[in-house]
Amino acid sequence: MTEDVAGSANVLLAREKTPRPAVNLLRRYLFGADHKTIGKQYFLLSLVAVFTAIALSWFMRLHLAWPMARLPWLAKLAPNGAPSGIMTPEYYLSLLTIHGTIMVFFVLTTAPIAGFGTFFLPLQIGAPEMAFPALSRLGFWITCVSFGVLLSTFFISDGPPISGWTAYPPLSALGTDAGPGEALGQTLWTLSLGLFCIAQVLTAINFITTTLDLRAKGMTLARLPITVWTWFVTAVMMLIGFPVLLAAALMLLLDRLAGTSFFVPAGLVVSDTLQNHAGGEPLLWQHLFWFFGHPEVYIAILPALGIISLILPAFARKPLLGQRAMTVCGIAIGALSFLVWGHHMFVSGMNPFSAMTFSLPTLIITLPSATACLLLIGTLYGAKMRFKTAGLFCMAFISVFVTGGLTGFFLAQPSIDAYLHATYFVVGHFHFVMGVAAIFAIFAGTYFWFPKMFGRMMSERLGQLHFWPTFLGVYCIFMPMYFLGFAGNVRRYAQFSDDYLLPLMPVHKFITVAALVTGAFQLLFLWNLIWSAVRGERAADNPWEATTLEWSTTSPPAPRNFSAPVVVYRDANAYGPADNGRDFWAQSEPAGASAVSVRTGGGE
Amino acid sequence: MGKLFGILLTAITLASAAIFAAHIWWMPANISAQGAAVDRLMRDTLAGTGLLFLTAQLLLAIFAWQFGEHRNGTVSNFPGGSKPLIALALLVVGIEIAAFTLLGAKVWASVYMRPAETGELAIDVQAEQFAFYFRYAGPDGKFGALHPAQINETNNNFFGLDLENDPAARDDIVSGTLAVPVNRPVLLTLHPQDVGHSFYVPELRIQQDFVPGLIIPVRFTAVRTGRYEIVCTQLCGLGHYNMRAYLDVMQPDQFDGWLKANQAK
Amino acid sequence: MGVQGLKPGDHRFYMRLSVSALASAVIALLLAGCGQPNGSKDARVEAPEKPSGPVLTLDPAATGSITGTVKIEGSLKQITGIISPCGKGGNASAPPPPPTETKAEPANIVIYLKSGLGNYHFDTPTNPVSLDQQNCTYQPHVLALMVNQPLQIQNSDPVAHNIHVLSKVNPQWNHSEPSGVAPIMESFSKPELAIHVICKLHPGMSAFVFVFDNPYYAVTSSSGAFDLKNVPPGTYTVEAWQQQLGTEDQTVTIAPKESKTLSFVFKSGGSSGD
Repeated sequence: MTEDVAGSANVLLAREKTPRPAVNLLRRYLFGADHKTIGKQYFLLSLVAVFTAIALSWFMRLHLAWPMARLPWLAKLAPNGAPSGIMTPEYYLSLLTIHGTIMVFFVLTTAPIAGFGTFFLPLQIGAPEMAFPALSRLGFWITCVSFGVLLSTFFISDGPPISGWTAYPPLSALGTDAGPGEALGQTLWTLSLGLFCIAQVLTAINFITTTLDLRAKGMTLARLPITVWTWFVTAVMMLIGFPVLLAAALMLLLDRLAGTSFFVPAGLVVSDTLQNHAGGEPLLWQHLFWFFGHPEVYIAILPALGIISLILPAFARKPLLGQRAMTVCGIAIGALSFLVWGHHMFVSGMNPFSAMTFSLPTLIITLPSATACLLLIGTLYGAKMRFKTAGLFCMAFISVFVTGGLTGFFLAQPSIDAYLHATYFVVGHFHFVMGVAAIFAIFAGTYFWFPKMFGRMMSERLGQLHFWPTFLGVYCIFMPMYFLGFAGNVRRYAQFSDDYLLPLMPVHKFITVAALVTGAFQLLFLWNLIWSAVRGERAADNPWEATTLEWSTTSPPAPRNFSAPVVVYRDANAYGPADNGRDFWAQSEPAGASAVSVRTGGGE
Repeated sequence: MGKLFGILLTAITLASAAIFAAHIWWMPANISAQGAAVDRLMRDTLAGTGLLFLTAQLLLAIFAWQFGEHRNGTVSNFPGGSKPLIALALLVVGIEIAAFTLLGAKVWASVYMRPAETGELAIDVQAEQFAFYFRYAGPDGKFGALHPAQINETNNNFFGLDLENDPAARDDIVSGTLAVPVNRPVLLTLHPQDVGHSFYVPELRIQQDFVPGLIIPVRFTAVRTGRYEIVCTQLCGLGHYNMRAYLDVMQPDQFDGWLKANQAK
Repeated sequence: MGVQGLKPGDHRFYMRLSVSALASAVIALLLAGCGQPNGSKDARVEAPEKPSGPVLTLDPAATGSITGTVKIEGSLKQITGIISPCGKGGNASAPPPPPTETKAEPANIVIYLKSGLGNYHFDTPTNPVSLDQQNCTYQPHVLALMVNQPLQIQNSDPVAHNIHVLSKVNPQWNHSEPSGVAPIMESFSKPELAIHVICKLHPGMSAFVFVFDNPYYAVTSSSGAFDLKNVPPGTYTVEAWQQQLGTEDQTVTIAPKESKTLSFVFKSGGSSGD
């Protein structure tokens, strides 16, 4: 299979020898389907999304720490949501909802796979383009429209929805009776979600086909870089998971607009009004949502794991320990992620026996995760680590992924989860694994791949200035949330007025200050991006001396990526003493003599 | 840089571990007969994960310190390669998984799969935006039927009882406080009026969602008197943060007096 | 196998695709906008009879007045919320005191013209009517104002309140009002009787608002007295509304410059209304 499909990529290259004619900006950026352009556009979209969501989180944290503070600028920004500058409870909940929705979908599902993947998948397999460029283009448009629809909820009279990114019905299904923001805002949110699902399915189809069909000569499945493996597994997960969310979103829209009752039973009295529904099940939404929702969080972390596994060896100057095992871990995590959704529902009213059937796979999924962490730590052993920013973020990833992942042991056990569910312990857990670890992987990927994407180096000094406060800062923000969780501090509260919560206010103030300071340091990252894109030092083809195929072409790559058909001779793990005068072998570098392998027996 | 990373990570790790170990912010004292088992499991999980936390973070810190670019020597592989490491991970984590699953199943069943007990006090609980209401069966020991269409908040008829025609409903006691006698098994039946809510008393180590359309039982036995907060943990609208009630655990004679005083209303 | 579909840059493909995508988005948004909120609306008449016919001019020289008092016979049980307002505290083991049956005061009774008023035009008063929130109660408990007259809602408590207007004729709305912010100004565009206003954050906190398109209404104080001045001549059904006891009607004919006295009596059955 490898030989004949690999040939097609080279045939395409051979056909397209004539340089493309100059195209005007509109055609290129709106209608053009060059995967590198689209990858950068996704990256830009994620950048806008993440800073929007960080701003929302600042407003939230300010309100939590000082609920009575008057913020005049907020009164101007949101006269309904913060009259006289004091935030209403419903506005807090709407900020929370949009913050979560943006972060999970438009940052963590977009940047690692749609962003970096669209740019680097064809490059890393030696292809000139994705299999379906039109799907790339369409996927990006739809994602943009989805983002626009989501943001539009801030500009309607009743505001954004208040039911969280999880949008449990009946709160999300009953319309205005259930509360402010639950009218048009919730409908637009659901519409935005549906559009996003469609875009992701298109992306997934594109990724799977490209990976299977467009590999260059010699790029067997076993030689695929770890990032390509994780993108592939993630794409399969997206293909299975997102249609389920789409179905749920459609059913929610029908309940809201067409009088159906998928999720709403009879006999509900909301705001003095007997609701006109019968026969629905709120738990049906929870099952559908979490059947998608749990794989979704692994869709967020798996490409991140791949990115770290790719970048760490490049800076350690030695191969990834147990590369094949790491790939197997990725596949295992992907497969197991579909068996665990009920751990979000231990106290939801399901038959308590089911808690045991979900707890066991949830605990089992820690096996591949723990193995992956140990392999990364083991890669550092005996390294000659170059502590560039990208490498530092790789090491920091390991730390925060361990911190976040270990707390999963608590939440995976139903009787302990009965205490910790819906407390700040959960908030700390998912922020560590998603909001920190996956983001650190995006940072690592950015510092690593920026030269290839933009042809210029990012400032290493600004990178270090960004890294150290960020690493300390995220621990200051999210570690205290575990303490709050043990104390029973409930989440999604606009304010803390319960007797037992008042003594915890100093912790909340600490977290708020940490969040503001750490968030401010992310502006350094933004500045570094902008300045470097315009004035950064010109990048060589392979500034990091890395092995994967993208580094064997120019920075940035030419329109069809490679000037000559690519032939692959080895996998991406060839770091370490080599008899070619350097300490690595590129994947497409033919061997003069046989390469001296640094691998001792056992590892691979 | 590597040394700085090592130092910073070590400081963070030790500081966090110390705070956890010292229980500076910790669970409030347990008041439930079944809670001690949950606390033991929590303590064991903290110990097990704490060990893994310290090991992984400190190893990472040490390697960051030791294996920088400018050290002497060439790159070397992990002793034994990846296989021993993978075997170790699978073994250690596997043992923890087996232990937690077996122990945890018993603890879970002891709280959430309790059979009915003789003499248990049945209390009906309704959650709505944004309050909890508790209903006692009254002297006849029977709960009146619920009619959502007859719910009238201005008349304190939160449950929708048909007071004119239903004799079982007339003596039902409706309260904003959950009063229970100490050391007596209690059965709560949870149902919401409007959207999803949840019942959480940290001291009881119990949390249970209210699901529209379902009536969900919760059983517990409180073994210490006092006043404890019941808070809502399922996002239910703008008043979610303010939705609370009190659990008053009293001596049996005090509880009887409370019932009588409420019946007079 | 390989690159499928139209070549990148084929404008017709993208044009068609973008048009159909836009069209679907527009249709979807229209669907969203047209969606009806769920919930059945009460079919009862919520507003007094609307006068018909040509607009008449009020002759100030010819107006009369309707005065009188309202009494409640029998005792009325105070309905106190079973959760203390403003939430927390209280003695752990002492039960709340049972409510006392007291001689009912004829306060917070609304008197208005149910029917008979001609189609006069009345200027909208510009002075705002005030609704305050103190100690987790609405002050006043019952208020009346005219269509489009400003209602000034302020929060004098140290906690946030939420004003949920459960109107059935006017559009419903629901705003939170944190402590100490500038008052919320609202108004009602249609006449409506007995709009229930509650605070979602504090169960038991409720008020009633009456919206009229004429100035002939009164809300009684504890004396039970009312005085409707400058009423044009005509035959009217005058209605009195009490929260627990419902309504009482009386018919009266006013000649030019005539003043008539009415007496309303509500009979309480003692332990009704619980």
